[in-house]
Amino acid sequence: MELPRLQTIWEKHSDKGFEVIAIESNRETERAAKFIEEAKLGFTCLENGEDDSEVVEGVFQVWGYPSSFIVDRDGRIMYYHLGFDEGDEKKIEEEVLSLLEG
Amino acid sequence: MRRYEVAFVFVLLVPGLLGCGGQRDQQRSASTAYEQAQQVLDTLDNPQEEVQIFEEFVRAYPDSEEAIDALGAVVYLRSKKLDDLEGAVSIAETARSMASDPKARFEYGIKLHDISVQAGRSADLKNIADELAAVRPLSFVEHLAVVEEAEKGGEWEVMLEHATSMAQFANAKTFRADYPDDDFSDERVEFSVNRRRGWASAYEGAALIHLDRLDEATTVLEEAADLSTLSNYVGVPEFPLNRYWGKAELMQGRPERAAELLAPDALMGRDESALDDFRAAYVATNGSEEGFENYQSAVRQSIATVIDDVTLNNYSGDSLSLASMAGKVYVMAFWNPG
Repeated sequence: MELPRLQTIWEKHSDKGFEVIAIESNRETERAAKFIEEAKLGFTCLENGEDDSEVVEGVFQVWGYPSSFIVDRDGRIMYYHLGFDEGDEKKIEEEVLSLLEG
Repeated sequence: MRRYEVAFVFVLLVPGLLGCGGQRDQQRSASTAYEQAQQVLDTLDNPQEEVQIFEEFVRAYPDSEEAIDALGAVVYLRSKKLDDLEGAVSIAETARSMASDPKARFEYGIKLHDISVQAGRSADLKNIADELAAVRPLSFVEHLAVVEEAEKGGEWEVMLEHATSMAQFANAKTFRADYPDDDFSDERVEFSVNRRRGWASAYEGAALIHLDRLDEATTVLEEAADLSTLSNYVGVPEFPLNRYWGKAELMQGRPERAAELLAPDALMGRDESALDDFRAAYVATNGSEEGFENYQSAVRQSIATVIDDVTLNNYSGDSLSLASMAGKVYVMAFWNPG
């Protein structure tokens, strides 16, 4: 699962201006809240909007999960990743570090 | 938890093909046995013992859906945890020889091919695919599995045959028929149909490139050119069309066009093979690799999408707008608990 790995990266680098925003796509509020609590996620967790406010598919065209974007200080998406395999957290951390330094 | 449970969970979602009553009973007892096996596995933390339980299960219920999942776990454990590729090949061969259900034999065959290639050996992919095709037509996902294996093994004729078949599934009616329980929006269906067409063309083009039929490859890829601009929100194509088209352009001595086509896959999605070709295109244009790092970061900035501002609520009902994140580096992670 990707989110607990992101929690680890977030704990290491949040003091440098790094954030994680998780967006739950299906509005499965109870299950999502339970997961967030059990995994002790400390970063920002948001819920997809409903109908006209739906953004995951409607705005960001995300159909596969987990998907992640890495956004730089100017709001540009500099990296996109679909799926999650062992070792992917290292790639994400490297990209984040290079953007924090850049 | 063990990672392969996540990795192979979709295999379980593939609908079973078990037709007659006896097989259905066998499937039911396999499901019960697998649940019991999972309970034992939860108490173990030793790959050797885990392998043993999974292998026993595969041998006992070779035609069950769960056995395909179990074989996936064995192959993962043997190849990644126990450094035993030969053992992984051997159990995949055993599973395929014990199974009588055509779908199970096919799935084992795909697994066998995958692990054989990793072990530097070959497996008869054409035979694996033809055997199922003799019973019923392959589905889109099955053709795709054959194509991906063919690419790994460098079996370009097989890749070409199945990539060509994939194109026949790229229409709304067929896509909806493949997912009878889902009520997808027209927009979603259109996206998926285009994706199927993009995949089919990309792989057909790739196979032709490897068969040294470069002109035909270029034609196939150009015919799908309307899809080359059809990328997702972040500008990365959802299928490797431009990646192969870029390769074809590079091989035909047009490195600048190649670099343009390859940039999103190489830089945004960080696809290793696209990045290699992108670098080669730079070298072909500039004579050396000097300055490549600066070049790639400049190109990446120029093609990057600026994220839209949206406002969403957290679980306490507070709202957050992405505009408030300006000045920070952040990961936006899309997920759901399902």
